[in-house]
Amino acid sequence: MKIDRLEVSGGFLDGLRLSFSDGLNVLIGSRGAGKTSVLELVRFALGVPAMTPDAENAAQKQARDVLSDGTVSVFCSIQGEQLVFSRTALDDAPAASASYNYREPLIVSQSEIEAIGLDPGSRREILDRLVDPLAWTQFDTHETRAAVASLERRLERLREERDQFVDRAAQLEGLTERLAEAEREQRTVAEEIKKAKPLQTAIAEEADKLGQMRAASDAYRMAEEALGEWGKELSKTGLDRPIPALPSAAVEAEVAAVVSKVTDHVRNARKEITRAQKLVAEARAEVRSGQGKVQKKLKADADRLEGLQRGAGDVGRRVSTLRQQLKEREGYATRVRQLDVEIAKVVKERDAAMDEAENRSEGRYELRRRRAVELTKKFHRRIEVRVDKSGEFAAYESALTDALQGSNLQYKALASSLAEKMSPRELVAAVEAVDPDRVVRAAQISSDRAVRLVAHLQERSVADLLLAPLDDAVDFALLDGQGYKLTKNLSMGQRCTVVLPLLLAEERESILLDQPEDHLDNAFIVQTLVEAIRERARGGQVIVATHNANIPVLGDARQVVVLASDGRRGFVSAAGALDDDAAVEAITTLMEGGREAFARRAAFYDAHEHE
Amino acid sequence: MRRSHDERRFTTLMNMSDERLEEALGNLTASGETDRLAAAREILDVMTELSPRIDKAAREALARESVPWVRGALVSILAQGGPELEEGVVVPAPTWDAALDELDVDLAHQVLSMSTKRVLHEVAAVVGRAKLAAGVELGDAYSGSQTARQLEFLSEVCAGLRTLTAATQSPTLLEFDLSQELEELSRSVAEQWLFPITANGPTPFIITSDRNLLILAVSNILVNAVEATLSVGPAEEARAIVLTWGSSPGGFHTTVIDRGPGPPGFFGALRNAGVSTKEGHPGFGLATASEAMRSLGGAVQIQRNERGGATVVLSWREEDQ
Repeated sequence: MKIDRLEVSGGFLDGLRLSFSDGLNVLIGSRGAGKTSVLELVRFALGVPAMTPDAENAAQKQARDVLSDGTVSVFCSIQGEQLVFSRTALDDAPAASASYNYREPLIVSQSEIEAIGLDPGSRREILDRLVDPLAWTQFDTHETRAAVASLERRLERLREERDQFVDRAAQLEGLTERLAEAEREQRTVAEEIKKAKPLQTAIAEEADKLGQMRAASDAYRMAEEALGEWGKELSKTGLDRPIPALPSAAVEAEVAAVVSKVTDHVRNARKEITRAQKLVAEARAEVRSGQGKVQKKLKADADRLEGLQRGAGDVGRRVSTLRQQLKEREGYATRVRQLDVEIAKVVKERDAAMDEAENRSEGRYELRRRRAVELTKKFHRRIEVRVDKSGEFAAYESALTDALQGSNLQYKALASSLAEKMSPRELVAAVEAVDPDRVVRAAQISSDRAVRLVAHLQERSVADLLLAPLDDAVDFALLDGQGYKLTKNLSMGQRCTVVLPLLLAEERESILLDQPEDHLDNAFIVQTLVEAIRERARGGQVIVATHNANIPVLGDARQVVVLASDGRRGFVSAAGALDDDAAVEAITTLMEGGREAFARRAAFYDAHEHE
Repeated sequence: MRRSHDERRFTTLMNMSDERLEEALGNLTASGETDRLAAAREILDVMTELSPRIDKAAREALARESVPWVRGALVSILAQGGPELEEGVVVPAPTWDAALDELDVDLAHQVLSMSTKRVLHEVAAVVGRAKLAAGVELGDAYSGSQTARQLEFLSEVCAGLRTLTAATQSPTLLEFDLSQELEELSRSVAEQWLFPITANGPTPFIITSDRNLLILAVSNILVNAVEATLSVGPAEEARAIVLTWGSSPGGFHTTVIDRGPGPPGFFGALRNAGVSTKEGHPGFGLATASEAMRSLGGAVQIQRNERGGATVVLSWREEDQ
């Protein structure tokens, strides 16, 4: 994509019509003239994102402020076709006149150049933009990661099921011993029942005897009743029955004697019956007394026998239940063994998927590494591009922090240390193998903490640890004096000297740079930056906003655009070739400080040339 | 005599450990990072001390490694050798001591020079005669024989001693462009070894010093760097050596940055002439460079690089015009 024209209606640059040529276009002008605004409006109109979130916010704000209620339009050519992008400050995205596949221009603001070096994501993005996208796609890890996620979910289900069976089996712990005990008891009861044969005989005899005694007692009772009846009848027989006077005294005397005798007999009969009654009652009482004793003994013997028989029933039922439970437990154990085999199989599949993901990330790393080596060579090793495989593991650390919450293990510090010392696979392997020693050795933490850590992680899903995205870390080092310094140790200017050549190494048709010379010394601008700009402009289009005269003059600018402002509006005061009078005048005045200042500097250099 | 049960058990355990160590050392070059990490952990588990062999293998692996956890495990192995192995620690080889007056340095050089010449006088001729005699006596069997190899080694020792003597000579001061000399030297070493070397520094860089001594010192360090880096892997751009130069407070410096295994654990031994970590090599390079720099009132300092390899800084004082 090449940018042909920019048109603005409304806002600070209202009425701006600016054409861009192939090669180097330089925007110059005093501060506040709108150079940065022009570049930001191009970015806004095309919807080209900035490299860091802060730069994106700043860029959007500046474009909207400059545009106010107006519209910006950018006219582009893509492989010979014309395309127009338009956008107002209120639009969320630009509107394009047609849809094309194109590579958007590289637009880099001053703040981005300063920030990129310190932002790991931006550093990686710079390198990734230089990697062949086709080669990149063959190492896509999406599919393999999805496979790992699916296998991990399966593993979780299997482990859950296994835990349930282990728990059930644990509840039946000591079953064999309990069964052996019950069987021993059963044998003892059977022995005792066998030994109770005489008891059964005695019970039978006692029952017979008791029957006889009951019959005897009944006989006595019946006799007693009969005697009682008789006694009652006798008692009704009067003893003093009056006999009428008889004419014969002798007869009367005789009769009286007989009556007296009969009365005596009756009286005796009564006594005898009472005696008989007493005898029968005594005999019955004796029988009843014996009967109670026999009955008591019979009950005791019968109870004893019944106890033995009931005990045999109980122990029999217990033995039967325990045998069933034992069978049940054997079933659980078999299922646990089957699940172990299944889990081992899935772990193997998951590890194979992890290996594949590792191979693909290795492939990506290799692409980046090769490109880094090429770039380092290209910059004569003044700048070294370094790539650390999986060196960007913030997401893994974050997943560990989440996983360790509630572990009472000072989880933040521990997560940070673990993420640094143990790879996700190594940590997960230690947890799955319940091997805290491995954690002790690798992470150098105390045995107690390692045991608690492994136990805690066992209770949780480790899938998040395995699936936390790892990316390669990219850093730049500058050869400074006696060695290399990484971006974090570089001054702002040094960081810019590292970042700019890398940005310019990207082969895009159109590149827009905003004041890249800030923080740079002129030696670097002339020897490196201008050379890189010339090289890029040779085969494409470079648009640079600058205050440094070396860029348009030594960079052989095809067009110089002079922007000016009256305080309320910015406008193009001149636009033309480098050697146009207006351009020369603007470069001389604005960038060199005027002819007199330039002449005095030249005289100074001449005077000291041979020192 | 029969060995006790414990002795036999101990020997068996030792053999098992040796086997595990051998396997783990071999796996440091495995293609999968998980295997390399496991290998590094295994070495740390099995090793009883940082032997020269483990030290060398771990340093070479570290120079190749880019995965942070494997690097960490390798650094843990090397840390068994003591603090000298930590990255970024600068070790003088040997130190140029500002408190040492000129007389002492000269005296030391004289003693070294005299004793070396004496040894050379006695030994070099004997070695030459031995080579001749062995050639005659062994005939065709001489070439490739152990005798030939040992005699060749002795010859190299004599050559190294001769160079060492040259490094102790008094400096002859001349004005010259150091950048031109170093660029030529790097080209020449690169062509000779077919190894990528980048010379990178301000041009021109005019100084007054002893050109021969400086080139002697830098070339020895450069060749050492090439040999060391080749032990890690083939000559390729990713392992290119950087030669740079510039001004330092009160003097100048030339720095050689390599991607080799870096300084070894038993680092002190390297400072002594005739000791090398490279098998079958007399190892006079660092000693010769040190002596040459001492002759210039300078010093050689070495440090382990963050990403493996060594940075060797040769620094010397600015001579009055």
